[in-house]
Amino acid sequence: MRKGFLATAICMWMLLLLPLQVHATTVYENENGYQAIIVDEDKVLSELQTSKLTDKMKPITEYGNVAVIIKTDYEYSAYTYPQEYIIEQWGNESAIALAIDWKEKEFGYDSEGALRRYISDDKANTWRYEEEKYLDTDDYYICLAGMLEKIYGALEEKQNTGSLSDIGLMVVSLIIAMLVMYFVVNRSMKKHVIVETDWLEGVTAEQDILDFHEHLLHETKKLVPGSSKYQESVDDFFKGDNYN
Amino acid sequence: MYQCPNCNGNLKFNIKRQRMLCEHCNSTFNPNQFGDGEGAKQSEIEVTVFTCPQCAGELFTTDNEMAGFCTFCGSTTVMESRIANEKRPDYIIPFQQTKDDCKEAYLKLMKNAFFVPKALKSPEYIEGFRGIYMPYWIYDVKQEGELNLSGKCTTVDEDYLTISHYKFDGKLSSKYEGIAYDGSSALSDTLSRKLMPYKMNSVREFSPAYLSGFYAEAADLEADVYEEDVKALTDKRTGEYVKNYYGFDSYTIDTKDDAIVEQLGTTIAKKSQAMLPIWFVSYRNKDWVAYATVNGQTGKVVADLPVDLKKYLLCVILLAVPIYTVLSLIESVHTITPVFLIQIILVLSAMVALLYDAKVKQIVKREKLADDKGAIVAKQRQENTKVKKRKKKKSRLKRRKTWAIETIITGIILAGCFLYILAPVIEEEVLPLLEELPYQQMWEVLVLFAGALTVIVSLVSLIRSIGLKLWRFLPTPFFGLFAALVAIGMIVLQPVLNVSYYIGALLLGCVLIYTMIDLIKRYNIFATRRLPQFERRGGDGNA
Ligand SMILES: [Zn+2]
Ligand SMILES: [Zn+2]
Repeated sequence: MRKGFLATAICMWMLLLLPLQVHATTVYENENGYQAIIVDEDKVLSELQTSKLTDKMKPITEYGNVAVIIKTDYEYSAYTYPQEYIIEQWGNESAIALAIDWKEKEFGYDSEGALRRYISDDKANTWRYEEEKYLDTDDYYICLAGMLEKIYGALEEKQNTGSLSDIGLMVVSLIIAMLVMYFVVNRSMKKHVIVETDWLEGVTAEQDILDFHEHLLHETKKLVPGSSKYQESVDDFFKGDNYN
Repeated sequence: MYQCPNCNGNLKFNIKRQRMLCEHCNSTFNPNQFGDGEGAKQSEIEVTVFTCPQCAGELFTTDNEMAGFCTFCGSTTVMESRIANEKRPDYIIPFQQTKDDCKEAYLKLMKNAFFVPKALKSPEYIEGFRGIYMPYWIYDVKQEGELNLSGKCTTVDEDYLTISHYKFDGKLSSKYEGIAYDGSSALSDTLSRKLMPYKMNSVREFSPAYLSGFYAEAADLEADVYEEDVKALTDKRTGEYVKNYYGFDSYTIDTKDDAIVEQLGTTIAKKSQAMLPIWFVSYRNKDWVAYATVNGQTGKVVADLPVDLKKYLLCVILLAVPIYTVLSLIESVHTITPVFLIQIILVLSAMVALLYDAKVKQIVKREKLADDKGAIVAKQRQENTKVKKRKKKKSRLKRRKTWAIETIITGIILAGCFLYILAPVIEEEVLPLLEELPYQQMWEVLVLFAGALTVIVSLVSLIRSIGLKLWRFLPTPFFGLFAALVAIGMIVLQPVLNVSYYIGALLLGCVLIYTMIDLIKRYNIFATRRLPQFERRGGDGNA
């Protein structure tokens, strides 16, 4: 029953996509509803190449939607088109789109959602540069296949190291918690530690100085600079013989 | 054992009544009316001495009904007992806090000490509080020096600045009564100092009858051990008094502090031995023993506070959960790359290494300058009898001094090596970056700095531990050093596989967790005491 319904839905979907079919669009959809789309408007890929590319895209649909577009009449450029395409097609679902302008030899890439997190833009851009060179020799298939393989390789590694990365995060959380708790422990213990009191506290002490006398021994006087007498003495000095 | 003159029942000192109480007929007597044990000389009292077979700690009592476990090492083996004569103390402050008062005061302190092991709050443990009279030397000091000081006074009128030089004389009349120093090497000075003060005006003439129902510790230190300390203490206090004397208010005193002290004429007027009351219980762990003490007169509590590792870890896990949640949230927005993970852990490792080294430093400091004068004197006495040993010790002391210098030199050499190795990196990477200061590179510099810090600090901890032959302390800084080097290697060499970063990060992470746990153990070692090991004293020719 449900399978029949799904099949009908897919057929309806296919029908809706009929106008695109004119531009040679291949669609694959996995059980999670993630799609793989190839739009080859000018038929630059052979049928064999298209089916091989589809095979390479299928495993990527485990992580999200994936689209490959090859044409030349882009509104802006093949570099900006993937972003437009993803938003138009899937909103902010997990997705990857590759676009080739076979005339201008441009190769664009963009990603969204989970796939964007799995494959950093930095990484994707370095691959894009590596693959873009095949466009000069019209090796569109090699370019796309290479890119897809790299993407899938990274996803697979991510899959394998995903648990390691989680463990890593746990370890980091544990260490931070241990450091914080260590300070908490130190503080809470310090509150209860008694500091040494003055040793002479509680000791009977009496002090006095008996027969205290002061005796004046001698006095020295100095003129205060700036006072009137000081000025006089300065004047005397300059008037006197010393001046010569 | 003291018997009731009325009914021959047992007499015990009763704290509430401050008199000897007959358990049988409820009549009370003044303890001082009971003489010393028969056959004992006037200067000595006949007592039962208990010796701990484990640590050689000794306690005595006049109450032959008591049997004992060792209070100093917390051992549960029954102590060996024998009859002996002990020096008769001059004075005693009888217990004024009952055991119930003491338990209450202790529990009040412990109630809020959350991280303390539960065992330290258990009723069975608290029941173990035992009244012990600790021997103290009590000093009275007299200072009756002729004071001859000089000073000056400056006055300014319209034209002249007048400096008048004066001579002052007078006769100092100063006295201190009841300065107490603990006369037993079993009790550490820091502990006894914290238990102070005792109100010395409530001392009574000693009578052995006061000891019934309690234990006492024999004084194993001579009175002259502390004489210099007492003089220094009173010199300082009286010196301050003289300088602030009201007669000098309008003068500036020229006489130097040392010269004032010389004129004080400080003499020890009287030395006497007094027994001061302490409620005492100890908790034994594998490597350490924690003491809880309550001043038997004032009820002041001084306790060692170790940390319960299980409680600590439980709190850590409770705290780690929200931290992990937050980190996962961050991770879902910005991917935390394996390189970044290793960098974070390296930065954390610098903090951990610093904390660990600070604790090692504290422990080393305590081991070096054993904070107990009594223990030092006891050690010296032991050395006097064994000259060869002494020579060895002396050279070790010398070596310890050079350790500090060696540490600094090694640090400088290492820093130099590090700079030399990093020089090309600094030249190529760091210097041009200083012009722009981008975040990413600043972070990387911070990471490298943290890595270098971890390596250096771990090395310092290692050297410190080796310096004191604390072999048990060696593995932790060694692992830290190794893991930090691996992590730095990863960051510098940049292996291709992400997995290797993760392995490096996890290795360092696990070492850090191990270090933190070890740090709590070190914390406990510092917060408590080593298992005591006393030199057997008395009767061995050490008069
Ligand atoms: Zn009676
Ligand atoms: Zn013992």
